Amino acid sequence: MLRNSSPNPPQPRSFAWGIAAATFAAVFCVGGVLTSVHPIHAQSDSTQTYQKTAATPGDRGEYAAKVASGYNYFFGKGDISTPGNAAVEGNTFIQPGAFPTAEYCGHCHQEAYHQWRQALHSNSFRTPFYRTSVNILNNTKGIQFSRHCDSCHNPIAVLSGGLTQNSVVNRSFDKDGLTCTTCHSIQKLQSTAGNGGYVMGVPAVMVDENCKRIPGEASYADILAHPDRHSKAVMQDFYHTPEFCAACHKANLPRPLNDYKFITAFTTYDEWQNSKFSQRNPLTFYTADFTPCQGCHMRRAANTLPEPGAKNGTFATHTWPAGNTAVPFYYGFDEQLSKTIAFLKSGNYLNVDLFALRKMKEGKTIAPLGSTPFTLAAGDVLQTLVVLQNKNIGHSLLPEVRDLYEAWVEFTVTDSNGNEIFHSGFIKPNGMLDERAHSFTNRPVNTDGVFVDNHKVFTIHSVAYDNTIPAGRSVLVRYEFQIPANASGQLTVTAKVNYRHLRQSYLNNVFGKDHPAYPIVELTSRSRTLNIGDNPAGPPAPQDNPDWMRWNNLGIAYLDQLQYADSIDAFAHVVQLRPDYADGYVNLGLTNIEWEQYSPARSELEHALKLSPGYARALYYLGLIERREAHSDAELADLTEVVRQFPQSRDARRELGITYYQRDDNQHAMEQFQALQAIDPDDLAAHYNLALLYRRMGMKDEAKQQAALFATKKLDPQAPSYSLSYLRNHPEITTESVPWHVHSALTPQGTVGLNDGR
Amino acid sequence: MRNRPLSLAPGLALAIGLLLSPVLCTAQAVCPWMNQATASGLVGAPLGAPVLSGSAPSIACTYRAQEKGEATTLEISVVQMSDPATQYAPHRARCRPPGVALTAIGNEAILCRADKSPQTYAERVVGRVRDRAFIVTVSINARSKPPFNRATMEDQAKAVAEQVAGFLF
Repeated sequence: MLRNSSPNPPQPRSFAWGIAAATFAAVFCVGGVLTSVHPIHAQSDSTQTYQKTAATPGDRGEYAAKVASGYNYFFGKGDISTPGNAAVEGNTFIQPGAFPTAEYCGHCHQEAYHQWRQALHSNSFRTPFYRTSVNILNNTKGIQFSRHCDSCHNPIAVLSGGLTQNSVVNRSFDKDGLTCTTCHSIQKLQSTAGNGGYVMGVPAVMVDENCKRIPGEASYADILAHPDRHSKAVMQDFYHTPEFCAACHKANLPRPLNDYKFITAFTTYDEWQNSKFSQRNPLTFYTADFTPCQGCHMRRAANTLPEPGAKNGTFATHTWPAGNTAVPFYYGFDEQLSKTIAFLKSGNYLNVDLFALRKMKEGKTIAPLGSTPFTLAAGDVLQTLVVLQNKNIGHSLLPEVRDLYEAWVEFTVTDSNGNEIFHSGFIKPNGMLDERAHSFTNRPVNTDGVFVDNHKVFTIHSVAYDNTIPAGRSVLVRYEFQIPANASGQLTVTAKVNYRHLRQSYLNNVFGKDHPAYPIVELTSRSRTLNIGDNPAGPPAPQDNPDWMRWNNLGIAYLDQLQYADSIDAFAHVVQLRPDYADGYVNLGLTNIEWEQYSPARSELEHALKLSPGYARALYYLGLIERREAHSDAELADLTEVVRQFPQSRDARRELGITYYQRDDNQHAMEQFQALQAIDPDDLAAHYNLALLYRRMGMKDEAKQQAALFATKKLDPQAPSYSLSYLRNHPEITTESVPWHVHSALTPQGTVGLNDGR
Repeated sequence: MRNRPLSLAPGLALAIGLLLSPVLCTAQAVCPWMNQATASGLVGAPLGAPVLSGSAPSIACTYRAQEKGEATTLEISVVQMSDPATQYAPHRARCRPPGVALTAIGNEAILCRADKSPQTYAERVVGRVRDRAFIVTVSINARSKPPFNRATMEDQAKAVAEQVAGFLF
């Protein structure tokens, strides 16, 4: 082989010609290249075929074969939805035209259609808020990665094979997002792993006399002649379960998406499953009637338009009211917007309690406010203890994507002339939230320790800050201010919880900075008037919790802030006010366990069991003490009883599995961890222990699989360094991330990071 | 390097081969803002492959269909602006008053009639997504004057505009 000695040798003339011609040919022929300058006209025979098959049900096999021939099987041959989990019967592409349109359904189901058209589900794909995010993914990593998001946001696009380079699929359906016949064609659920964990059937609106589904549209006359067959085709019992919602209201970022590792995105279903509303968790602080997702988000109401799906004059709402005000605001859907705001303000979801004042100079705490007389003087430095209780939300505040949504506490103190003495949680002129506000948001960060504020989820490697109020729990927020030396009369102290969908910087990402102000909804608030002078006790406001519950919520908040002595003190007030309340003693026991004070914990738990024999919550914690004291039989008995009462308790299954494991009872241990995995497919303890147990049982392949799942789901030890990098550059968030921080009007930076004994 | 006579033949053969290569030359013009199937679906006509002009990121696509004496044309153009505050106005002016301000298409959008001749009826949407202007025009040349519905044409223009804006977000 000959080599040129010159780095830039002259090309033989004939070759140069050829290369020039070839280059021209390539540029000319690869018409899809976006940088082409000249008018381009190319052939389209095959596209015409696709056009036809995409618009009508036609032959699925023919359609699938044609789509498959150009499909980017980036994640493996035959894999049509990874990194999402969407699946379809037949396991191949299905024509968009196979899905009867919403207009078709709306011919009879007028109320449902009217509600759905303004609801989030119908707009799940087309909104600028979503498109901005998914377009970044498409334009950086490639459209094939959007199968992750669109398994839930646009299932027809995924299952029809539209999410591939140079797609030939007619995407006219994009405007309908989750249309009627996506949800109503789901035939089976996968695990509760989310990311589109459903199995779509071939859409049908009728079954035949043998209950066999008849694909495609049917005539209205046929449907009206056989409404029972229509119902069998479009309804499934599991549509009423929270697991149906879990298919999409739980999400993770899997390795195929981020080339990194599994990262939990949001766990709304798990939050519900762990809440009092599921009645599946013995460890909740309070109890409630069983209420699935549909119990709040699909309440029945009288229909105003004709609706064959209504029963006794009421119809399960297809507006799915929740927190999203941005979409109805953008689209001008006033009805949906007003319903959303009404929903957010209804239901006694949150409780704000101006619980106590601390007079800093005297070191004296006045609590609970309203029930205790006290005196104030001009010049007093006061710390206000505000307790926020997530009272009746079946998930956290905020749920899901806390990098986009924004809830915060707005705290004000004004004098009798309305002059502001302290204001935390204000909106700045540029629309941004006061960065010192106590917010229920998070800060996912990338490997540079930079906040991923444009929802580029595939770059997230750590979460530097994540503040929320889990379902049924409470938080304590501290505000410090000084009564002006010349003040007289009264002060008004107000704490509100506000909500904005979406955060201003994300709105700026979507629209640039020239967009209207998006709605801010006051979820709840509480004010108290403080006299400079004497303040007698007074009656509670209608929304106030009873005093024992106020103390209980304070105890819960202290417990979550690792302030064990204060927590014990608060719970002691609870049992003083309610000596019959078993949970008061369980709470004392729980706090002492956390504080590693096992002897008093045992006494308190045993006292709770005297008040309420067989009480699962007490038995659970007592079982943990028995384990610590090596009373294995007692531990086993306690936890077995808890599992008997609460077979779907993930905590009880986990601990009972560990009990069996420590007793070398591999078979029973395995059963418990398998049961745990059925409840939560992402439970780390289940992966870890099953990997060990399967190996012991000779099940090597299963062991390897569990070990691999554990490896990808466990925390990356490097990840905290990304968070620390962010926190170093953001002292305002560093302070917020300290549980017992104080928002102070007395320091230039607005907050102090430590309670410093005050 | 060994000397040998220069010949045009191999180079030309390669060039001709590439030009005629079915692998390369069946590559279709792809409009970055909307594929042919979606465009056809939204305007309800069997549009042919697009003709592209301009250079990235400001590219225009023109789709055409000829059916029963009626010619349908869909033009989509997108223009990158360095200063939208000053540069958007000339684009917006392509919609002459009276136009109708549209809700929920891009940052802003306006719909107007843009008839090109007594026999060529057109509806146009001019809009903006951040620093990109887009112009969508649906036109029908109805020489045989078949009945057609203005409202339908408006809906088609809006549907295309919404899809384009979605892509630009």
